[in-house]
Amino acid sequence: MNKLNSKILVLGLAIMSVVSCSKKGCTDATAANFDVEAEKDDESCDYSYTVPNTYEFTDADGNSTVSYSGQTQRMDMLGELVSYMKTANNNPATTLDAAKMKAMYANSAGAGFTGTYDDSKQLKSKTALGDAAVQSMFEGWMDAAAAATPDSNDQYLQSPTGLEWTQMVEKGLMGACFVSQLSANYLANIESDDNVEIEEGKTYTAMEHHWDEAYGYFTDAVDFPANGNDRFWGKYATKDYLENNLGTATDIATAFRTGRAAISSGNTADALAQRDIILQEVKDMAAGMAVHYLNDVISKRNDAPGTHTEAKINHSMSEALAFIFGIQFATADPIMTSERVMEIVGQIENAVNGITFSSASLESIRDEIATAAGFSDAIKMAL
Amino acid sequence: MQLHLVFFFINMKNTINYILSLSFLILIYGCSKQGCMDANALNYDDSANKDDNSCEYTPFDKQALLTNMTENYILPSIQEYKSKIESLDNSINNFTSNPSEENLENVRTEWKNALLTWQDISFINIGVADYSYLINKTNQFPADTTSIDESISSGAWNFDNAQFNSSKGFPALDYLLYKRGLTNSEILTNLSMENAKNYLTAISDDLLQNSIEIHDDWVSKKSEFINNNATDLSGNESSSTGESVSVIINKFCEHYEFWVRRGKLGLPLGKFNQFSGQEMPHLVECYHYGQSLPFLIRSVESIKKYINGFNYTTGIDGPGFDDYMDFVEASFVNSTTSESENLSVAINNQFDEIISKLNALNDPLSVEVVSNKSAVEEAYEPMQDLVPKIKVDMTSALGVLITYADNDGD
Repeated sequence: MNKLNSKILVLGLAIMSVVSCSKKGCTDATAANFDVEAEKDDESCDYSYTVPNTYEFTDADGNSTVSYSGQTQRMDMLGELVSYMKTANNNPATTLDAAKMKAMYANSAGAGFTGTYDDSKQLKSKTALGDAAVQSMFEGWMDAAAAATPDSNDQYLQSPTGLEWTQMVEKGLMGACFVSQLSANYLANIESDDNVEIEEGKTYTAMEHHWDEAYGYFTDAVDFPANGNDRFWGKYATKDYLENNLGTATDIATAFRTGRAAISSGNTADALAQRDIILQEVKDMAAGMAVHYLNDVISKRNDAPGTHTEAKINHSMSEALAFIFGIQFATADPIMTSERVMEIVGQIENAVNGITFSSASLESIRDEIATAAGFSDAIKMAL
Repeated sequence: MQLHLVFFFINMKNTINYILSLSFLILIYGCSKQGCMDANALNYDDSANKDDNSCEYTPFDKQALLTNMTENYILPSIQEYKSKIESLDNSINNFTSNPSEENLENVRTEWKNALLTWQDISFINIGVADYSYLINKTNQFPADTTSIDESISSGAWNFDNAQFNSSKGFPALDYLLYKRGLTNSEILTNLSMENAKNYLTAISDDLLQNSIEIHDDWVSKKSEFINNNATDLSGNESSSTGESVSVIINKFCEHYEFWVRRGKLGLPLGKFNQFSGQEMPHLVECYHYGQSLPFLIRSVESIKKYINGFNYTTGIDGPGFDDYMDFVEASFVNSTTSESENLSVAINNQFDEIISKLNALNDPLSVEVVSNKSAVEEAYEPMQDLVPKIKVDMTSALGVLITYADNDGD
């Protein structure tokens, strides 16, 4: 036997010894080819996945693993609350019941909902991650709306200075409840969620479920944007000004489906990359809505006097205000601090009236938000 | 395995036969001589050349810890609580049969004593206490003053309904005995009415009944608990099932995190108003009495005694979690000094810092959280820092799994 052969023989034996000591295979339980008997990981784990065209995911037995009924219930409750508040529009004979609105907000006795909702589901407890002072602001707007006595055939129920409480409640909760829960609550903490154990009596892991709940605050349809585009964020995300300038609806829906597929195949790294995309898009979406309505007010005011009623301009201004208010709740790392947002809100809230508020002030607020969001001048003007 | 390869190539200078025979020997040896390689272990194998994680050690004597904590802290403290509630009950009976300023003062004194003793036992929360929601039934503040007023005026209430949890117990007594804006004689007049007297009696009966229930639960089930099976402490649905050490740790961690750190200080200070930062002074414990700090400080001190295995009555140190952490040589790296210290020491120092910062504050806490906010925040900070030390560092050192959830889900 020559020296070369002996080297090969020894090397071969050494390799064999490694192979024979422990069974190798994929040791990660989240991977598709997880091998229960493997003791040593051989980097063979399969984390590949296919991104479906709709938000539908099933387990090995074909059962759906997607559930966000609690989020849809909250959308339904907000829908009922807003519909109730709007009964006072165009109708000076109708006064609103503060207790009823607050009961609808907290899903408590006296809400008089048409739909059936789980006792544990409410808008209030999920507002601003439990910030009681923010919850009181919403209740304050409901109290004010109930106390208002419309003096004529007003198109909208507004305060003497033009504040439209219904808009503060609807668009305000889209930020303080829906976006806050989606981003700061669910997606911001997704990394620490378990993705191995199937929850007791369920078909999903905690990570899968929390991802779905985040999705459920964005839209209530699995085939968005074909459906689920008729209310709240699903509606605004598909508006041309957001979709064409920021890609909102497409980018968010794609990232949700991609990230969910990645989670179900154990590919956490890919899921977190998609989470980062969603969080960025959600910040853009929240800021984009504020900029859009500020542009709307500015443009209406620039039209010939009498083109738009004062109530109509105040309506847009109230929407702008509510979306500005919501910026502070978009992700755990919003583009503006709560302190600054509330300064702006305070500046506008007591003088919403679009006729008297200075154009320079409106443009400066719009520019500040656009700059904080990192929008180019072209995007800012197009929103 | 890489070492073996190097060894072979160094020996290439020797004869091939020698290499071959040696290589076979070493290869076989490399695979077959696995075992425990720690000389301190019970099953140390001096012929093993590869550690296979099979080492076994003398375990910490958990039963000694459980015996000490059960016999010397839990039972005597619950006995003491029951006797304080009995004194409160007596004082209320005296008051209702003879409403006088003096008897009102006695009720107040007994209420304070009982509430202080409550701080010694509230975090135990195992067995009947846990599944019957003793904490919610006993000290869920702030009191629902609207419900209390309505109940007294109508003469109808139902304490068996959880909706009345904030209308009974210590917070309801705080409101009735010290109602803000009223003089002592006005309070006396109010409480002398028939419905009010009946309401006081009902609160007292409820507290007494609950104290008897938890006391009997522990007396009858203590052996099972000491024998490491918390499941047997109650025959009913309970989250406090499983291994006793794990249950003890889960319960006091949860209590400290939610009821002490959050409920007694964080909420009134506005720490959970993440956006507005708005203080909520009316959420302090004993808002009407106006003294909150003695109860907060007592609760922190009591948790410290409990986890260190102190005897409730004599204060003598026995086997506790400090000893358990030292036994497993749990260490903690101080993030500012980068120095390592015993985890038990780090935790006890943290408790001491909290107590000293709280002692620097002044009642009424409801005023202090607004007017002296920075000092209260300075006290809150070490309270917050204790959470990861007990919930993460301690539990991982002792191999205990935290089973309660941070989030109330969707």
